[in-house]
Amino acid sequence: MATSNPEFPQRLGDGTDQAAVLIARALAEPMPGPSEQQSWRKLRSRSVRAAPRWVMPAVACALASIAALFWFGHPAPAPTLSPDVWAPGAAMAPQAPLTEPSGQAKTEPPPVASERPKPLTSAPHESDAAPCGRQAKAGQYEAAAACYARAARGNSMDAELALYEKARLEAKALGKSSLALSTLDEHARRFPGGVLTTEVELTRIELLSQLGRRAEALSAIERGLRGALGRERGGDLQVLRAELLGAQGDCAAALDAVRLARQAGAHPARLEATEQRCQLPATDTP
Amino acid sequence: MLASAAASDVVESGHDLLDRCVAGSPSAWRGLHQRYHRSALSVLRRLGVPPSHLEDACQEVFVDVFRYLPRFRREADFRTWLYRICLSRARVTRRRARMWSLFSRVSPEVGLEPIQQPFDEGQASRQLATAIERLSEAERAVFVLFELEGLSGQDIAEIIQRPQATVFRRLHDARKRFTAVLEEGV
Repeated sequence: MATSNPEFPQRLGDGTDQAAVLIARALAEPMPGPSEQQSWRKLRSRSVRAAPRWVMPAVACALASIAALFWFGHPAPAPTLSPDVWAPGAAMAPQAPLTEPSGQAKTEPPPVASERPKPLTSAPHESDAAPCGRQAKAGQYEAAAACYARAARGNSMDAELALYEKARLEAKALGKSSLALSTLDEHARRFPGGVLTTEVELTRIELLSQLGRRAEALSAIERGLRGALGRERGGDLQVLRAELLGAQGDCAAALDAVRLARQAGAHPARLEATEQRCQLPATDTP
Repeated sequence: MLASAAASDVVESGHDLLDRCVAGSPSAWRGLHQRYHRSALSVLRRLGVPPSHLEDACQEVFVDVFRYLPRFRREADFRTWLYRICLSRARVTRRRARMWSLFSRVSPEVGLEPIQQPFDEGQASRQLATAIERLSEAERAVFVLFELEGLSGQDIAEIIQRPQATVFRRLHDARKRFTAVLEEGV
């Protein structure tokens, strides 16, 4: 966290007037409330109480799987989802070098993954969106999207997360990038100061890139670089910017973005495609 | 002097702790709770969460932290992220508390009063809370984070997802109103 500038603006508490005296006295008073131990005990009992809500279905599923193994002799291939949909942070990483604009959303089926994603075991209790996640993992993408849409009602943080998950599902499992984009717009409208705001903005930029809407993506990147998104994910933004500028043929600016991305700590492998595109002139002429 | 000054040791030493939390270590969760419980409690109170709802709100904050930590990007400071959750949770809790008080006024016979907990706030803290209560929601957030939690304009801009210019404009308005309230006598 950045240290505060002591000169501008001066804090009220540093003055000598009535407000300063009140603030200084209030800050000097101990903050009453439950002790950390009491609070922790209560929190733990909450998670223990909540455990059966997800443990029981999990046990039932495990028993059913064992029974099926015995019955059919060999395990049926489990429907799986591309791991990049569920891995934490996956939506943030650029998916692939930019392709030429198609003007249409991709509709290929999602790739089959070799391993299932790890469940978030640290969550003390499951949210309303937990069944949606299970449906998605079972390959029921349309049902999962509808489920997330239901869970996204209201203004809670769960609703915010559900709306974001719906967008990710639409983009990565259903291949409906345009729909995902409108879901992200809805997210920005409904949760302007939400906890996932930066993630949403970055995902939005990636989708614009994938849809070939380079000008919009570039202006969103420029906007992002000037704000909180740039401070948090500056490297990722510069990687995307380099790819977009390279795809446009503006190699000088693309290589400058590559340099800035490197400075921001982006992995060199993510910059190779742009570097090759810009540094090696095309040799397809005889 | 400011509350956050003593607690800005998080960024360097906290990453291992966060890693262990994400890996599911119960002792790491306990460590995280120990480290941030007091900060969360004080910022929630200063953001206007009534004492009777404070503990529940704090619990909700940590439930959210536990739930969303695997998605938390380490590029941002954990405390910034925690404050963002506190802001969101304080908003919800205040709304809920208003509904509770309205409901218990309309039909007191149903006995749905929130549980009153012992909360012996000092006189200055009470006076400060009353004055802050008169600020708008947006002004209150900026005022509390800047004046009481000691965050910089840049940090607050990150937390509330607005440009720094907006932060300082809100701070300016909040200070004017706060001073006026004190002059009126709270």
